[in-house]
Amino acid sequence: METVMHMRQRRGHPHALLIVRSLLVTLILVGLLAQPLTTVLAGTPTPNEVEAVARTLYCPLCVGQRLDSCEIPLCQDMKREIAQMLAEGRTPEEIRAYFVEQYGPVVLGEPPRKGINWLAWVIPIIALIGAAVYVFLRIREWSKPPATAAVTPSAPPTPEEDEYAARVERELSQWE
Amino acid sequence: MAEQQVTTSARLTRGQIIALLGALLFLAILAIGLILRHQGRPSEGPAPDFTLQLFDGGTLRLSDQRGKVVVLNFWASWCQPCKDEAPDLERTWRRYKDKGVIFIGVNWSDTESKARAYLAEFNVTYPNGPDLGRRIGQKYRIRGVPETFFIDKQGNIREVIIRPMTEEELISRIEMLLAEP
Repeated sequence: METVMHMRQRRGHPHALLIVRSLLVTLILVGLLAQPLTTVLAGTPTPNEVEAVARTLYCPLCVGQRLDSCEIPLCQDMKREIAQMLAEGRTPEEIRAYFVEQYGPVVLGEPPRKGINWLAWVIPIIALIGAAVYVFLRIREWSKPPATAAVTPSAPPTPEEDEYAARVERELSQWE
Repeated sequence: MAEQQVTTSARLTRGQIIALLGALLFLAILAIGLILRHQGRPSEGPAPDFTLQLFDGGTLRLSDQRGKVVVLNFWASWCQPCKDEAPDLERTWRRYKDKGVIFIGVNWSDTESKARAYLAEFNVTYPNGPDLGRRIGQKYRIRGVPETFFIDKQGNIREVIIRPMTEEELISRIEMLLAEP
């Protein structure tokens, strides 16, 4: 009997074991629920994934500096936020939209294609096409043979031209 | 032949006019851009109105503060001079918050987590919120942080300080504006 009691003590009481198991399961469940489910599902993003998003964004404080190659404190904070948002399962598009909301369209490195900003996209194209058409027309005009010269025979010199030619001859002869 | 020359000349002139107008339009756009870019920050006149979404929830509209002296401070968590002036700002706010003065903190070009940590670190209790889309900063044409605008009871900008401020400097300006009718 004593031996059986000792064995029970070594194995632990069945009720106590049940309580311990229940506690463990509860703790695991609480641990899982403490962080967003998306974090668990998405996992930690790789540096390459963070860089891929950072490459499509620009530093809001610098001029034309891409986020992936920017090392100022704000850029480092932004990259940390990208990693966090990727871990939460947000898409690169959602992350870009978030940063546009925070800092304005400057983070996209280009004006958004809406409203009056369309002018920034359309004017250069129109100007290029216009310039190309103008150059084409000019070249065509220059390369054309002078049509009138071949058809129209040279007109006889007018009296003024005659007088002018005679004067040139006179003056030239003085030099000789 | 003369007629043909006249026609060609007229066509070229029209083309040149169009090209000239295009060039003028381009130059006008450039000029407007340059003028806007180099416009200085407002240091007098009516303070541009804005609505700030506060970190604590709710919103604050500048025009609703008419009748109070407003100290509008732009800051960022990555800015060391902002950290230098943060305790002075908070102390002065606590001194004047029940005397017709309001401090408004606008968090400019920052991340929310760092901004919240900054507010907690310096125990900042006056209304603060992020400058979403940097729209408020654009209205006040700020170039960096810290920048502090002093707005009188009528809603006019009276002074802008582009450096960290001490408690004494804040008090002297607030007292001057409070003394006005």
